[in-house]
Amino acid sequence: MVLTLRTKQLMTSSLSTGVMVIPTAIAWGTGSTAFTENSSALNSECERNTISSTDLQSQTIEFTGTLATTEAVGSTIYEVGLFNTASSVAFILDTMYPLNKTSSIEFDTIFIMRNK
Amino acid sequence: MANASDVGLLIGSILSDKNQMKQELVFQGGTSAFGYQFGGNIYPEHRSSIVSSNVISSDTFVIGHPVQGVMDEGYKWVSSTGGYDSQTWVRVVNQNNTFEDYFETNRFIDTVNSTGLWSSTLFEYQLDSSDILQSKSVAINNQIYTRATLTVSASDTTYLTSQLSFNGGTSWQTVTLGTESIGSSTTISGLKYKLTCTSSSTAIYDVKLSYS
Repeated sequence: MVLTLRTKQLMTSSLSTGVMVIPTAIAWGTGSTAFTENSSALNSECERNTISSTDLQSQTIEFTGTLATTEAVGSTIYEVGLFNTASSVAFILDTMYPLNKTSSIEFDTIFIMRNK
Repeated sequence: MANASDVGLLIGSILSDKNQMKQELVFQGGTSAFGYQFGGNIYPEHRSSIVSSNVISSDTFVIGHPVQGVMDEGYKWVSSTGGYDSQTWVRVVNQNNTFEDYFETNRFIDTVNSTGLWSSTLFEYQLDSSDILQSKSVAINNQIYTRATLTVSASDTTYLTSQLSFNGGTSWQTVTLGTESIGSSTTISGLKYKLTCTSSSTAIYDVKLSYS
């Protein structure tokens, strides 16, 4: 599980520029290689969808996206990521124990960030 | 090689220069400038990732679906928010194998089995005597976790009974806050915690669970 260096740099620079690139999409992939802070993409992305909801509470923010029944059918999902597609920024990259995606299942994916 | 006498002369010379500089600054009417640095940390962290599996039954109509989107096959229309038949958290992974909840949302509260009150404005969970705060699975990744340490920040922890489940809530064991516990019955069904208030009211501000 990695909060990327790029995210920290963007948050810091936003204090100077007043501009912050924000997450817009959640992606799923089939690669299993662990990420480092300098990683910038999933190992093998198979699907990307726009964030469906954002919940901001004080210092915590949650981003939710859904991998629909019709998407990535037959894939084994090992990795998920939080992105800004237009700016090609990866905020969070995560690997997990694999999940088999079928047409009878949709996966809701939630990323929870906090500024401590 | 410099001897003690040389070192003494050197230090004396530095002190002399320093005093002379101070005097010259005064005579020139100069003012000393002092720079202050104030430190503040920005500490963003990725707390948790959750993947929930929403299972669609065979008679649910799904627009665009190659099988369940075919008309005249007896599929049911369902609401957009309840279009699946069951929802299960299948993965919850946390930064550094440490779950933390500051109760800014009630995401991890098992509202069915908890009897206290979550405050969405104070960001705390309030327990009166006999009230229970039970979590959903706070760590689940198809792994067996055998060790965990539960820490609680609260208005008073004196009257809290703390329990952990290493098998998704099937069985519970009493634990001591801040002390590592070894799971007595462990499965891949995930970790949950339970806090029971045995006496006066308590506000829970923060729960932390480190595990391996």
